[in-house]
Amino acid sequence: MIYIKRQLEDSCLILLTLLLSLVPATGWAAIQGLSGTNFNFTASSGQISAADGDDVFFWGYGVAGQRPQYPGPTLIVQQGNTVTIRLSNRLPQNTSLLIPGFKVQASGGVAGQITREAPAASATEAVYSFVADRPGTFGYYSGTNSDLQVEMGLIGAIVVRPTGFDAAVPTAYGDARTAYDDEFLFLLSEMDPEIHHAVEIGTDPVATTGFHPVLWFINGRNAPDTMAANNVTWLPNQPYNAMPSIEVGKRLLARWVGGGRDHHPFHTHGNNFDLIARDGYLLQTTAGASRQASEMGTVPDLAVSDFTQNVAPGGSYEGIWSWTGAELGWDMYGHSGTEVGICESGPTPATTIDADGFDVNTREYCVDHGKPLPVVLPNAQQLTFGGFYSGSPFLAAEGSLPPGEGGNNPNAGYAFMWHSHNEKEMTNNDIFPGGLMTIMIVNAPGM
Amino acid sequence: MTTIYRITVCSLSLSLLLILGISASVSAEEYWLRAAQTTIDLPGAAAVPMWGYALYPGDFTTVSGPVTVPGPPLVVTPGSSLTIHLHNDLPEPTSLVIPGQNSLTPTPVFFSGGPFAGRVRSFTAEATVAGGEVTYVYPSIAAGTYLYQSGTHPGVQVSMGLYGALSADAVAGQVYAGKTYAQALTYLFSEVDVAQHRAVADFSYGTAAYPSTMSAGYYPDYFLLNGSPYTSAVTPATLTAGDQILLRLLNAGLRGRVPVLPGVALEILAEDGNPYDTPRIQASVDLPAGKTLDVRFTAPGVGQEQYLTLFDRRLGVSDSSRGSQGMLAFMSVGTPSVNLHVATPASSANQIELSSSPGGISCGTSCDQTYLPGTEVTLVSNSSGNDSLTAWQVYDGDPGASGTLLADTCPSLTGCSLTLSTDRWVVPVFSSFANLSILSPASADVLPAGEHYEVRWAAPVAATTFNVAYRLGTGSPWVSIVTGTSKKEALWEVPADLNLRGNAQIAVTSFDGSGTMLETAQSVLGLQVRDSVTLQQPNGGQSLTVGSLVDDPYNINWSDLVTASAVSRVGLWYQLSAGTPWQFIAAVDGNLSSYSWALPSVMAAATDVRVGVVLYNAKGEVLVMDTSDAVFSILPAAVPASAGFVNTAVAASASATPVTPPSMQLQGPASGEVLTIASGYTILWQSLVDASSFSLTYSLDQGASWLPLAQNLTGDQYAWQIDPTLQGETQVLLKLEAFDANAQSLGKTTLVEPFSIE
Repeated sequence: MIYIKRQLEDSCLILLTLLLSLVPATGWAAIQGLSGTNFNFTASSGQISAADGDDVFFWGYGVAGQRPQYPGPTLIVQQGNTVTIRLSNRLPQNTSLLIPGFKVQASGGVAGQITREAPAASATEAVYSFVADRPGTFGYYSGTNSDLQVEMGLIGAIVVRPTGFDAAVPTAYGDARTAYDDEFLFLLSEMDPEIHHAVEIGTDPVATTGFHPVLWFINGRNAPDTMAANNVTWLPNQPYNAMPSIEVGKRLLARWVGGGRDHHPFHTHGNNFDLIARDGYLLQTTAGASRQASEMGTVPDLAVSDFTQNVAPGGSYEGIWSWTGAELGWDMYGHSGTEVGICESGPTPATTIDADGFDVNTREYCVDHGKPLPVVLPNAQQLTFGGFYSGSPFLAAEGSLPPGEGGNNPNAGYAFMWHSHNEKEMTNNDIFPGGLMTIMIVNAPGM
Repeated sequence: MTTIYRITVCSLSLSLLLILGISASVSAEEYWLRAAQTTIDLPGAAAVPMWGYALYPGDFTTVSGPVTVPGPPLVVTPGSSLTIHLHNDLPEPTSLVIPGQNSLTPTPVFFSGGPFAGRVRSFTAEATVAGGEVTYVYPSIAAGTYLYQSGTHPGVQVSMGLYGALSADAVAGQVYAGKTYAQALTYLFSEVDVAQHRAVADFSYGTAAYPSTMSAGYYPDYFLLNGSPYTSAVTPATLTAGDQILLRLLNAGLRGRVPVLPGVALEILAEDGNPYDTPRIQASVDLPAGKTLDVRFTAPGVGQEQYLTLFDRRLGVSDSSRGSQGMLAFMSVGTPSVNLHVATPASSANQIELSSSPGGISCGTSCDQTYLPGTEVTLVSNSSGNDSLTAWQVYDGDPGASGTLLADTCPSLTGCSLTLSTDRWVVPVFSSFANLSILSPASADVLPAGEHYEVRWAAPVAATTFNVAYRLGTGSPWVSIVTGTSKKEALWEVPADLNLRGNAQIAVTSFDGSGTMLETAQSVLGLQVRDSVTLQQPNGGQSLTVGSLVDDPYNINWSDLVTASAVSRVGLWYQLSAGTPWQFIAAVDGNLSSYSWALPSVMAAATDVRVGVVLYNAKGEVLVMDTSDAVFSILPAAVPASAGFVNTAVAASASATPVTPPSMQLQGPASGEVLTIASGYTILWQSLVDASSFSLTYSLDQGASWLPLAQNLTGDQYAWQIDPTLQGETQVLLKLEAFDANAQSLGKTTLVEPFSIE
């Protein structure tokens, strides 16, 4: 029950409802994208909405016959399949597709410097075909005038599922070392709107050496739009959000892709992750070699435990992230310790503690079960509140909040900011907060 | 002891050697270097000041070679001692350091007075200005790839160009113990901020005009690989298929770079000369400022010869506002073996330019070049004076010996595109024109209505601007195509709806520099009145092997002439054997006549293959179509797929919906059209079915009964003299039937939309 409702006036209730509608429901297991083996793209121009209120002219890939989007459609394909992408072009200059992680056979279109190109403003298609011979996360981008066209937005991501992929028991590379419960894509990029404006007014050629970005994106949106839902109507050309959440004690697979031209140090508050692969190659000494993960389960033996991933342009990475509350030193649910059926050591009632010391239902660290919060919480009149505070320090518990506060955390999870640690990149044209930032919410089981 | 270091010099072209500044290829433990000023020309910026190193062939008493940026490569045996003598001709003191080579104990030099007193001026011993000399002795060189660079005022001196590469292979052919390679390539990344360089050269650096790079800001405008932005004059490095290739990557610039080599797995062996216990396999590598990496990859194997592209994914790849490219390089896997000879025009007023794709190889001073089979090249001509190109003659052999002219290979004077699978000789033919002459279209040419056509003309040098116009007959007004153009070609959209009164005409009028009219030239033309398309290749008899460089991709060529409806797009289909569904290849712009087709994978030889070309109008209706006159073959890939490739059967992989194009197609009056008895009507049809004869019938009662119109027709059209008794009929339908030699019906097609006759 939402405790705060009784204290709100009608107008604030409406505002709260609006705010709640911004926050997506939980259960973000799937990465949004297109599946299959044959895809038809058209490169065309449009506008995107920057979170400082500006509209920025951009060039993007889109499904043929539909709007261009930023980033281009995420393709989700199967290992071993031959993937074919047909590209036609309504831009004023030739464009193309590079998928550097694979050997691509290009045909059709016209000859270009690096690969075949779809000619400007023409129905003639260039065709790119490759065998998705290894699983992982990969980027794609234009190979024509890349310094301009990547800036303008001609980028996207490809996820390759491993052979034998089972959505009920998903893995990134086919074995338990790369197993996960939920996955999220973080395609990082940046823009210098002055270059976009020059293109929009027809300047040709456009100098890109003075590149000075002021907008930073995850999956094509600036914060706080990163935290809105997928496919919101007010961002018609930016369909993808970046709003990760995971249950306590589960494994989250983060797929990072460097889509722009700058490095971005992606920082995961709350816990380390284990970096398991780069560019679709597992970090392992030999096939199958494993070690214990930082938190849950196993990872490839050369996986690196870190809290900031330097995402290089053209690079793609996968990391496994978990949060358990282990060794907090206090009971994260605020239990008193007398509850029946939680952290039972057995034999009667039957034990509910697993081999790692967590309760099988609440996923709490039983060593800390019943331990009180070691501080006295200040009185509400002595606090200022963030949008993600539930009113209570305990997981899945809401507390009293003054009218209009909170609201972005309907399941009372723990919120951690995931962001570029190049702090300037957390702004929208010098306005904070913004840019390359989102919030990871850790929820209690079942939420 | 010196060991001869085996760089595969034979596989590097002379131009690449010059760019790397290699003048000696032996490893030595003692070098004499000179630090001096030089300039380089960059696109849009002439004589940019640089500071670089020159190599003395012997000691300082000899004459040094040219000053280069990067400096000469130093090659040393690990474990040996290295002695470098440095002579300084710069206006500042300078020194030399090799980060990572720690066996030399540096002796820093401090400012003794002035505003910087007590601060470090050089990391190690200096050579003073104007001819100072210093010697460095490294007692024991460590294996690997290293940058050597200035150790004095490095923010300026290194930026100015004082850097180079040092390599010390553990053993010949092994960069570190056990890490073998067949061929090594060095790629050194750097940048140029022209404003900084000019400020240094004219001594305004450090003054109010340009206080420092920190305060002025570092804005590199040129991106260099081995000392030069990419130009097509650099011949790609040649790699042997299947070889292990070592890339020595160094970053002497101030910005990080991310080299990528699309389609190739890169094995990073070491960074900064420190080998990894477990090599990292990546597709992109991190090369921050000052970093060196040793990266190894395996060149694609025999049968997969191709061009590889190395570029910076941080996109230091071009500055298009100056027409400059950047950190981009090509390698060719496989030895180029197809020769292109282009006859040099007799007059220097005429020049040929060539570009190739991929690979970006260009003519340079001579267009004679050798390419990997399958490379596509395009030739264009530039003329000045009274000359103009009148033809591209393409021969399969030496025209002066046994070569045969290959007619119609390059009919367009705009450019000659060739896909080189065997040697070719191209002779561009120029003629001098004392009078204005239209080169194309020639009089009596038949042009396709509704299509684009390039009008070209030649004129004496006095003519500077031209007007071009057409009219649809002597009774029609002139319509301008272009006025005041200084080019000698104009793109004309031939009108789709014809209203001819006599023959159509094109006229070109020339004007001199002051606008005075000089001459007029005219061509009298025919204009095509019926739609047709002819598939020229593959037209039967070919044997194409999937994955072969010669056949794959394969150019489908067709020619078409259409009038009434402009072609919006062309659909290409193929059929692996008679009776099976047609598979979609691609949709192509209506004004094109060629398509580069990636052959479909086949598990076994397909010998009954045909290609179909179908022309569609803007509404998506089929206009005309043609298929291969005879079957041809597609053979499976000759070489087993490399690891990881999966041979997909054609049917399994193609999820394009197979559609059967109509086997017969009747083109008659449109729905609701009104025909007049006086003018008659020409009925057209296309049939994919091999028919001996056709018959036409018509119905006046919505198809309940059919009356004969014409029988025993051959060909594809019938000029219908409409019977006057049909005047006033408003629900007329037409049907076409095809018959074989035994008068058995092969099929029918009906125009279901009724038309009227009045």
